[in-house]
Amino acid sequence: MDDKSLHDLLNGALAGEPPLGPVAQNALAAGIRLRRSRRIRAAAAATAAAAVIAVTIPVGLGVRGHLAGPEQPPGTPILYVGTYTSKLHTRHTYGGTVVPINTATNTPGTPIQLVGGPNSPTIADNVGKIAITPNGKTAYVTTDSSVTPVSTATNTPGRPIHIAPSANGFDYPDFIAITPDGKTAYVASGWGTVTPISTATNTPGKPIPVGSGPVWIAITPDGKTAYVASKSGTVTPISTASNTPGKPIPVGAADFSIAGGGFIAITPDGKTAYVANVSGTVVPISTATNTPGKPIRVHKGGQIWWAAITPDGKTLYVLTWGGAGPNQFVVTPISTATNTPGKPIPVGTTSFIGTDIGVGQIAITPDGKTAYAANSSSVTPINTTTNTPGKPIHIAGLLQIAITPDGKTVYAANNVGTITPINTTTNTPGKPIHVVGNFTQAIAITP
Amino acid sequence: MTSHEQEFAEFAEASAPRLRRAAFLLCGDWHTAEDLAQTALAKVFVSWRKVRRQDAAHAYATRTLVNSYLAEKRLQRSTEIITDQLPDCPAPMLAPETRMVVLDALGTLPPRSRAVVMLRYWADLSVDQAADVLGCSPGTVKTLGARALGKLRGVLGDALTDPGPPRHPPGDRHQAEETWHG
Repeated sequence: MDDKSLHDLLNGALAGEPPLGPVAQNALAAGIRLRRSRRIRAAAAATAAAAVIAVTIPVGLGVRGHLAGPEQPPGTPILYVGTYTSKLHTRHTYGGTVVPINTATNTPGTPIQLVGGPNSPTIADNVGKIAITPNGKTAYVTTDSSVTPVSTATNTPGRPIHIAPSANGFDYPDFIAITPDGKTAYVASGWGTVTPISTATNTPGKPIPVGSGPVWIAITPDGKTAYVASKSGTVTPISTASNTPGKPIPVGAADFSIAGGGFIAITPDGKTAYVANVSGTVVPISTATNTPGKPIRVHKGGQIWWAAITPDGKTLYVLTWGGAGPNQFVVTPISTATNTPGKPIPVGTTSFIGTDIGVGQIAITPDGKTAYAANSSSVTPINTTTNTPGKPIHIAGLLQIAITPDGKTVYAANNVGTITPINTTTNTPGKPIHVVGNFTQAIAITP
Repeated sequence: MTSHEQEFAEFAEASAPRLRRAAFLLCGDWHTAEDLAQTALAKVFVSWRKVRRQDAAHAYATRTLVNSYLAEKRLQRSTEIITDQLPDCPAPMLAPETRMVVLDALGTLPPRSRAVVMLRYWADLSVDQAADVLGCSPGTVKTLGARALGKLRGVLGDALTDPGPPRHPPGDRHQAEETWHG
C-alpha cells in the first residue's frame, strides 16, 4: 500500500456522499452566536469579579443572568421567546430557555432557564411551544419531557409538570393549547395522546388517546371541543367537559416524513374547523356533526405549511410551498362562504426547506387588514382587502413570527437568537433584539 | 450582512464540501461530519479578522476541524454511559465494497492516528504541516502515522496491492517499522 493507493482508498471511502446542507449559512449563524456569547461571558466574568470586590453585593440571579432584567411596567404585553442552543454548534449549551421581552421598550429580561424531565433533569434539552393563559398570568412552556408554567408577573418558572412517556419512550410534549376559560391546557405528546393539565393545580390528568402523531390542537371559541390533528391523517374531537375522545374524523393522507402534519383553523363563530394537510388539501369539518366536507385542493403538488383565518371569519389563508414552482411559497385565500380557493399570492422562495430550519407561517393582524406570511428568509405583508403582496422584509434564518395584541408590531425571531420588531404601519424592520440561545423554537405574546 | 460576514460566507461556501469530506474520514458518519464542518467554520468566523489577515483561513479551518473532532472524542469518553442493555440496531452490514472495509479499518484507529492518516494521505500535508495542525512534534506525527499504516495494512492488506514504502525518509522508516511490530 503506497501513498497513492491509500489516497485513492480514502477518496473511495467518500463514495455515496449525501448532498451538503446549508453548512455555510448555519456556520455563519453559529459563529455570530459564538462570538456574542464569548463577549457576554467575558462581561459576566467582569461583573462577577466586580461583585467579589464589592463584598456587600450579593451574587444572586441578577448577576448570574446574562442580561439584566428590566422591570415590566404593568399592562405592557410581554413577548416570550423560547430558544435553545445546540450543543454541537457551540460546544457549551444553555439548553432550553425562555426570554421575556418587554414589548414597550424591546429590551430582553433575564433568561428563564428551564429544567427538563428525567431525560435532562438539570437543563431542558429543548423548547417546544409556548401557550399563555387568556388572563395573561401564566405562560406554559413545553420542553423535551415536561411542561413548565412560568409566572408572567415575576418571570419565574414553576415546578415542571411531567408528562408520562408512552411505551416507546420517545414522547416529547410539543403542541399546547389552552381553553378560552383558561382552566385547562391540552398538551399533545409523541405518538398518540393528549394530556389535560389543570391550570389551577398544575397537575396532569389522564392521557387521552388520539390518532398517532398529534401535531396540532385547536379549541372551539365556546371551549367545548378540542380538535386534535394527527399525522395519521385523522382529527380527533375531545369533549373538554369529560376529556373523552370522539370518533376520529378522517381528513385524508398525511405524511409522516414531513414535519408539520396538519393545521387547524376554527372560524370565530365556531361552526367550521378547517384542517390543512401537509399533503395539500384543506378539509372543512362541521363542528356540529363532526363530519368532513369536500376537500379543497389548494395548490397541486404543493405542501401546506400553515393555515390562518381572518378575525371576521370570511377568509382562510393557506401557505403552500413548492406547488407553484421550485421552493416557491404562495398564500391562497379561501372564501369560507363558498370554500373555493382564490388566486395564489406569491410570497417568496426559499431553499432552506427540508432542513431543520425550514419554516412557513401566517399571522394576521387583530384588525384583519394584513396577513403576514413568513418563510425562512422573509416576511411578506398581504393586504387582505385586495389580496396583494407588499414588499418582503428580509430576515435571515427566520423561524417564528408573532403579532402584538395592538397589532402595531410583528416580531420575527430567527435561528441566531435575534428578534426583529417590524412596524406594521410602515412595514420596516426595527433594531434587532439579541437573546440567549440560537434557535428560537417558540414565540408567544401575553394578551 | 457586514462585509466581513459576506467574506466569511463566501469562504465557508467554498470550503464546506472539503471540510465535510475531511471530517467524514475522521468520524465515518456524514451527519457528524456536517456538524463538525459547521462547528469548525463557526469557530473560524470568531477569529475571522485575524485569520483572513494571515491568509491562512483554510489551514486554520482544518486545524479547528481536527481539534473539534479530537475534543469531541475526549468528551465522548468522559460521558459514555455504561449499560447492560444493548440498544436495538440492525445487524452490522457486511458490505463487500472496499469502501466499507476502509471505513471499518479507519474506525479501528485511535482518533489522533486517524487524524494523521487523513491529513497526511488524503489532504496531502507534509509531516511538518500535519504536526502544525495537530499541535505536536513532527516525530509524533511520524510515529502515529507509522502505527496507523501498520494497523491499516493489517486490516486492508489483502485488499491492496503490494505495500510500498510510505513517504518517510529512510532513517525514519527503520524506527517506524519497529513501531509497527512493537
